[in-house]
This record gives sequence, structure tokens and C-alpha cells, in this order.
Amino acid sequence: MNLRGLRAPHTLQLAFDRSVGGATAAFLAGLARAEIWGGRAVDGRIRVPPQEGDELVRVGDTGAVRAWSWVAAPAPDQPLARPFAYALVQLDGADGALLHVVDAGSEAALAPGLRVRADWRAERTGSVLDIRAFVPADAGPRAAPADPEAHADLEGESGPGAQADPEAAGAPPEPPDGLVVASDRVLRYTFEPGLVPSRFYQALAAGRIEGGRCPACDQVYVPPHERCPACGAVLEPCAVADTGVIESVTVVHLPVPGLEVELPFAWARVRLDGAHVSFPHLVGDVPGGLEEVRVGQRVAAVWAPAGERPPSWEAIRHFRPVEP
Amino acid sequence: MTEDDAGAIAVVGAAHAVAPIGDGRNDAELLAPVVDRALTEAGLGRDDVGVVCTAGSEFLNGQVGTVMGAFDAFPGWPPRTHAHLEGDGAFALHEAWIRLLAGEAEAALVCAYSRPLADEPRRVLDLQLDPYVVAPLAPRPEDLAGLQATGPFTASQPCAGAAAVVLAAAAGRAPGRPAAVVAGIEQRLDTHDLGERDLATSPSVAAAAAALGLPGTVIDVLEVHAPFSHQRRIVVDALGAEVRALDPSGGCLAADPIMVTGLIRVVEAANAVRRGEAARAVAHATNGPCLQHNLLCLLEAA
Repeated sequence: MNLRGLRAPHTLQLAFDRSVGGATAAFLAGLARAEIWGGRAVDGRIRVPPQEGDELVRVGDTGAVRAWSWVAAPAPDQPLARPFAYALVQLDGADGALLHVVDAGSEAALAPGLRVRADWRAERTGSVLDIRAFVPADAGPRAAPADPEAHADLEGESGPGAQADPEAAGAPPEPPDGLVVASDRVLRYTFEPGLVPSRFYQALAAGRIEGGRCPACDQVYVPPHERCPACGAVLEPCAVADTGVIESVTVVHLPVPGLEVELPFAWARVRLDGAHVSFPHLVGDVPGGLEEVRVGQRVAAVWAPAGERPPSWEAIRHFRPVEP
Repeated sequence: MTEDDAGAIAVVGAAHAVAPIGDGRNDAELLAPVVDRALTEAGLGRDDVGVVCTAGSEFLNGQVGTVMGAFDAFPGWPPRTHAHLEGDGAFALHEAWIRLLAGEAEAALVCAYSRPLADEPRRVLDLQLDPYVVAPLAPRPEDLAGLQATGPFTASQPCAGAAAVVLAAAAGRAPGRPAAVVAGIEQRLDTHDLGERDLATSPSVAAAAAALGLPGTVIDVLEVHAPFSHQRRIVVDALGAEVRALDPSGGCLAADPIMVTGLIRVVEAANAVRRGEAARAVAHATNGPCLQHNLLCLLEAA
């Protein structure tokens, strides 16, 4: 159901390289060496991953499934392409559990207490995904630890299978400088500006500027709102002239992300005749150049040709100076 | 500040509305009629409101500064205290209540709005996850809830919506209006580390309930914010109280305007008291995966 509003696709991309430090960096650096390091908290409990202030403690890469959640139809961004389980895995030597994935083939293979072991990737980068998945402990022979150079500096037992024994654990991992966790999350929306803004934009597409008049305080707003921002009364639509005056202006010499306009450009706040508030738009067709645009300058809208007016501010190409 | 003073702050107006996702209205258009209703019930005008606390999430509709678009729906001129929370409206209610307790104003308006316009509305909640060791695994909210469930469960249906609550101290109330006294609000938080939690229980609900003195008492109406059906029992068990009517509003499974749903629980509980159906009602609100963060609001007949 749509009550006659406009809608448009809108994408939000959240791309970050998050630098990592402290206990989390040690945990991730351990994973790069095919080792799992937890932390002994002040209460003596060993948790994985470690938290700040914990004493780093090596735990096993084998453990037991404490709880799981079956994913029958994995999405493309999820770790495994075939059905799998998210699981809380209590690693040997730890008191808390680690959230990870279990690749057991079918949900029937899962049970509370199921013994699992880490299936390490050959190429490891210091990511929680360095563990491809936990697999049932009886699922075939353990692969030899790949990339032996990654932990060649350790003495004693190390690599897959090591237990929580500080004497045998080797030195805690030293995080490399510049360790980051990269994320690139894309969120897709169908955006709706609302009913009153939709009406305003549709009027622009028809070559008209429509404001909103407050019946209580007689203020005229362009663009219109649903309510008067000052007193809360419901605004009434009203026609507004396409001429007005510049209230402030900036000449912009640097590109603005998302704004496709030739540099430099004049960006002004324009208050239309009969309106009480201004809005921002471009100023063009200025004899003598953009630096000649002045506050108080009278301007008129330069409309896109009929048939080329989108339901947006771009229905007006810019405002041009006119004689008072 | 004495106990009596604290008890003098009451809900005097409370309203909400839910709508299908994508009905064309914007946040202000959804919220304005709800605010009107709450203020009318309270017998107060926009100028009587000294503090405005709003809540919502920019990620729901993907617009930076979403709250700016909602401004017309609530009193903003002449300028007054306005605090905005990226979160559920119930947590904004806590702030408004504290501001009134501190004597900042005699009446406060709390409002929340939600238009989940993303293709997968609930997935914006993924952005709350630990970005280093959990988010790379890409679990969905349903997947995490599944770790907590011991059997099949139902997920709530996201929708659009808005809610508004008017709080007033004794001096800020219009005479003759039904009121639900806010006897207390407490919120507690469990660790973000899911592997460190016993997901079958809710220590944070239990701690909040203990702080409100709920264990061993009788609650006429309990409204639970449980986006996944199995979470309702966990909350009830953690309260340790005898509950006479659980979710008489119908609960939030059928209509879950994310970031408004918790405040709607307050609206429903307060209105049960204001209608005389309950002498003592509790509203619960939650945030975070698997009931990580919980708020309880105790409302009593005046």
C-alpha cells in the first residue's frame, strides 16, 4: 500500500578498515598462527576471545558444541555455501564459548556436547575466518598445519591440537603493525520522502513551486512541511512565485561528493517571493562571473525544458540574476 | 528528592500507531498525529512540554540525520531541551524521566518513530554486533536468537510505526486526567560476548527487576518486548514475580516497529493502568542480540 508518495532506490555503503589493538589483536594474530588464545579474567575464568586486561592463555582448537542455530539456506555473505550451523563452541581449556560456525553436513549430525575441531584455512590473515569452520572431531584426518613459517618461532608444541597448558603454549602472539579488520557492508533501501515532499517534487516536475502556508501563524515554507515547524499546525498547500532573493551565497571550487556540477559553482540560499524561509540552489548565467553574485540579488528560476523535469530539485536547473 | 517526589512523575498521555512498511508517509507524517493524541489525552499543549526525548535509528531508512526530518512532529520552537537517542524509545523515556526527576521541566514528551525501509529490515541490527570477531561471520538476528531457543520459535514482523508518551510531574499535570505513576525505571546490560552468557536466562532482567523490588510481588499487567517468541518466557522467568496478565495488548510479534516497539510496551502498560485495568504494570524493552540490554518500567495507579 502506498498513499501516493514517491519512492527511489537508495544504497548505503559502510566500508571500514578497522584497526585492531590489545587483546583482540593478540587473538587475531594467534589465529594467523593457527592457534587460539583466550584470556584469564580477574575472576579466573578463561574466555575466548580474550578481553582487555585478561592474561593471555592458549586454549585448544578442539571443543564441544554448547548451542547451535541451523542455517538451511546460507546467504552469499555467510561463511559457508552449504547448510551449516552457527554455534557456541566451548574450546578445551576455556570456560566460556566462542561463536563460530560448524560444518557438520546436516542438522541431524549436531547434538549438545558434539566434539568439534577447528578446520584451519591454509591462507591465514589474522581474521576470525582463518578458521574455515569447526567440523566434527571424528571427520577424517586432521590436515597438517599449513604455513609453518607462521609459527616457526615457537618452541614446544604449537599449532593445531595444542591444549590449554601455558608451559606448552609458546609465546603469546605479537600482533603485526597495521592489523585491520575490513568490512564492507551494503544496505539497500527503497526510500520514500513522504507524502508532503512527494507532492512538492511532483509540482516541480509540472513546473510549479508549491509551498505550505500555516493557517495559524501565516508563515509560508518552501519546501512545505506536514506541520508548521513553529506552532505545529497542519500546513495548507499554496502556490509560490519562482522569483526571489539571495539570502547568502558561497562560490565552491572543490568537488562535492554526489553533486555532479561543473566547478566552480555558486551555491546560494534563495528566499522566494511570498515565502518566509530559504532553500539552497545553484546560481548561474551570471554576467561578469560567479564572484559577482551578491546577497540581496534578485533571481528567477531557470527551469529544465518541459518533459525533462524530474520530480526533484533538478527540475530547476539554477537561478539566474534578474533586475530588481 | 524523596520517594514521594519520584512517585509524582506520571504518564499522562500515551499513544502509538503502526503502519505497513512503505505506505508513503515519512517519519514526521507518521509521528505527528500520535504526538497530537498523546498531548490531547494529557490536556497539555506543545508549549507545556519542557523536555523532548526522541528515539529512532538512521539505519532503518538509510538517511543521515533522520531525526531532522521528524522535527515537525514534536514541539521544537521556541527552543527547549531536546535529546535524541539512536535506539528504542523506551530508553529515551528513561532519560526524560531522569530529567523530570532532576527538576529540569514539569512535563516531557518522549517519542519514537520507525520506517524500516531496508530490503532486509531486521538486518540493520547486525550493525550492533562486535565488528572484529562476530560481524565477519555474518550471523542474522534470527541466527543469534536461534542459539538461545531450545525449540522452534517465531520471529516478529517488522513494520513502520510511531509512539509518544507524555510524562508530567505533579505541577505539570492538567486536572482530572488519568495518570500512571512511574514508580521506577531500571536498565541493565549483559556482556556483548555471547559465549560468556547463559542465553537461557537473563541476568540483566533479573537485576533490573531486583532493583525495582519486583521479585515475589504481583504484577497485574506485563508487556514484554520479545522480538522472538522464545524470549518472552526468559523475561518472565527472570522477573521472579507473579504475572496476572501477560501481553494483554497481544505482544509485539505481529507488529514490530523496530526502535519503537519497546516504547509501545510502555504505552500499553501505562494505558492499562490509566484505564483502571491494572494497579501495577510493568513494561519491558530490550536492545541488542539475544536480550542483551533490558529496561523495566514499573507503573502504578495514582
